[in-house]
Amino acid sequence: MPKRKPAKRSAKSKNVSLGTKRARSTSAQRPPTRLRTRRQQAAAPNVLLVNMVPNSLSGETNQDSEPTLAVNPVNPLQIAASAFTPDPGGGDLAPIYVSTDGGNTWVLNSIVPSDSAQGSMTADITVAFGGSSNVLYAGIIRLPIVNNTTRLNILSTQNFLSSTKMKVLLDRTGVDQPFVEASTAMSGAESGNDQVFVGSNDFGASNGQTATIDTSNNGTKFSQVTIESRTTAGQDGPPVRPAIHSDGTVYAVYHAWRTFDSTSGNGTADIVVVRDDNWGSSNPPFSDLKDTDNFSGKRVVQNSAFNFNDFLGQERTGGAVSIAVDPTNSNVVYVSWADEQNGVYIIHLRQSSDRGVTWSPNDLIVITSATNPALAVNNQGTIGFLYQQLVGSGAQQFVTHFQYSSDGQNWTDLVLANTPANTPTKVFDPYLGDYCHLLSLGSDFYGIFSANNEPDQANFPNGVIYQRNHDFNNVQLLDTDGVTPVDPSIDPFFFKVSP
Amino acid sequence: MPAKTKANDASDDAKFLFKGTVQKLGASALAQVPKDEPTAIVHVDEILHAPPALARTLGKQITVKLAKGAKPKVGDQVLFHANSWLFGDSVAVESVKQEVPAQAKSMLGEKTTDPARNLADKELQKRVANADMVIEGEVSSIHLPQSESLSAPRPARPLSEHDPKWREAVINVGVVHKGEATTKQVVVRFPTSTDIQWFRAPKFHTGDRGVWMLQSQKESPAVGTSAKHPTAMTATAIPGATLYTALSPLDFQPADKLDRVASVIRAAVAAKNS
Repeated sequence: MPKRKPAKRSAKSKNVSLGTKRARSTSAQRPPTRLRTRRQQAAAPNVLLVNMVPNSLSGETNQDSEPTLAVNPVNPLQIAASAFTPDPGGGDLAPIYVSTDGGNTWVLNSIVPSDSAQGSMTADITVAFGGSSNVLYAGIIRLPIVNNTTRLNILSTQNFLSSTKMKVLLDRTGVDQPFVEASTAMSGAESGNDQVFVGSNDFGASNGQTATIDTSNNGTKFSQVTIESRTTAGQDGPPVRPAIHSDGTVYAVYHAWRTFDSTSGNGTADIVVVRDDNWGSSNPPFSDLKDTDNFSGKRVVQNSAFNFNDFLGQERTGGAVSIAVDPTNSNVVYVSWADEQNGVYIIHLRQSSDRGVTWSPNDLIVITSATNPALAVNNQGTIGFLYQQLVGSGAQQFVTHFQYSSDGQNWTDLVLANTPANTPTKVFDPYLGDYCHLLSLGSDFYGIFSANNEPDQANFPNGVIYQRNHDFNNVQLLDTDGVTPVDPSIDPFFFKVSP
Repeated sequence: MPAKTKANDASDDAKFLFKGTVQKLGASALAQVPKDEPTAIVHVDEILHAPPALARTLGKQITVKLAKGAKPKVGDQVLFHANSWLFGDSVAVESVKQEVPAQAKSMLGEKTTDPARNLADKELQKRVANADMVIEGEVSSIHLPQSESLSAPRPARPLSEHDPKWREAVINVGVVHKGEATTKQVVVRFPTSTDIQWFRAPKFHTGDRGVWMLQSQKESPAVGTSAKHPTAMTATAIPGATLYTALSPLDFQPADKLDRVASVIRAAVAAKNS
């Protein structure tokens, strides 16, 4: 078995043009698709990038797409992650990825309810740690489905390395794309209790107002809250994303469908932000931010065009949203979303400094032919922005960027991965995932994305560590015997950036 | 409700059946294994059945979380009925039952030497045993169910990326191996979606030939009726016909692969009928 090589930044990587440049943009003057650049003044950030597939699974060729990440605030060495990875043992439990050394090494632990006859995996999965409880939560679409519709489970475990199956906290059908966020209240009536918020698209909601958050003020029992207040096109879109501040402010953004043609897939949506100022317990919940029409939910943008049937390369599109609140100031909140303009998929980023009441009239950043925006703000007020951009023609590449900025104007742009977009051929949708994930703890950013796993160091200009057997010199993955070649596939990659 | 552990699974369902020699008790070959778990380091001597990822452990040392009450000694050779637990630099499994290896010899006698194939055959036998019908036949036509058509009442079903995009295949039945022997045609509803939720389910085309392990609507909650979708499951291709599904990849065995699985299916059908 070849000795695994430690991550090494090549001299070449330091000279890659997008590796450590800083970009400046002003909303009024900036061209929409390019960033004006200037030399970076600050020291280069510390970047850790790890291919998460364990060594004992070196022969796997799964499409491990749509990843999310959870870092334990009590012990940041403990990190959990999820992806569309089947149980390698073929059992009735799907796996999560677990690290106990800050993301340097990973193991798979199969503790998520599933079904061996349906592939020992989930149809959606996201993870989050409580703030101080050490409890890991997960929101999944559980297999097999029942009654011709999707099945939501909200789960928890006190010990993410234990072989004990995660406990089912909530089980409901007719729900799509659960996205879990959690914290622990440090003061007030809920002090010491985990606060869990699971955004979802609940098809059982009345009047087609399907954007929903399941809230829990004790990490055990959940209440279902409809956050859509306006007339929809029969339903809202799949993504509903919460963001929690430690003072009890909870924001959420969703893709509010206003028109939709089921034949063409074309539709228009408002990008709506709701807010609750008391851990989701306002009366009614998530009604603390009103728009000019006096309905709950600020429409950051109206009539944003999308096509639910469209693709960016092999990656399906149809409307993505992300939100992050500044941990130093709950008044400051950022939103990113994707729309389609003249057939081009574009992601946007805007900021509010007054609790979502008003928003920057123009985008802080516009990225064309890109998807999977993910946002986080660290304890310095620095905004981090993760996305995946399709570039080139013919043999296209997916370029995974992480940008960060302390003022929303001057940006440092790190290319984490620049990998083939045409290979491997898609096995299922989504190819890379309907989302990737970014979060912060202290001043550090932690993130996860999925990409082609070819062990080519040129694809990772800020360095990479592989756990699975590989040969960087010959750009070849190897099986557990260290000899047999293994075809490229889609793997999850963990990263940590310390600006 | 208390959390259920994998240890509650019946040993019959264990995915990893192997003979191993205990090397060290109270120890682990994988750093991430919690220290308070009752584990042992075990050398994998022989594998009877296993998924491919665990079949690769032959001749290696792995970590075994011992079944409750088991007290093997160092040097003992044990037959472990286990399921996967942790995959890292090495592998940890959870034993649900341990036996003396002598009991394994008769099990070895009727199996191939390929442990992954042995497990696949066992899984196929289960699908046959649980099927309402097992038929040989050919797809004669594909239809769009009424619930999927544009003229269906809106919203027939809210739109999600997990939409199955159902179709119906009419199968002309050649041989009935299990079920009503006089059946000439059946209707199988199948998802055409390539979404994560459905990509594994077999997709059918006119002219496909092979053996189907079919679940009736009653036994297939995936497409069962509900208050929200009361009309979703009326067969369109043959009005009034019983609707079946074949959602597991094992539920359709194409004609060109029948040499490999025919004996397994026949044996499973015979066992069910005996």
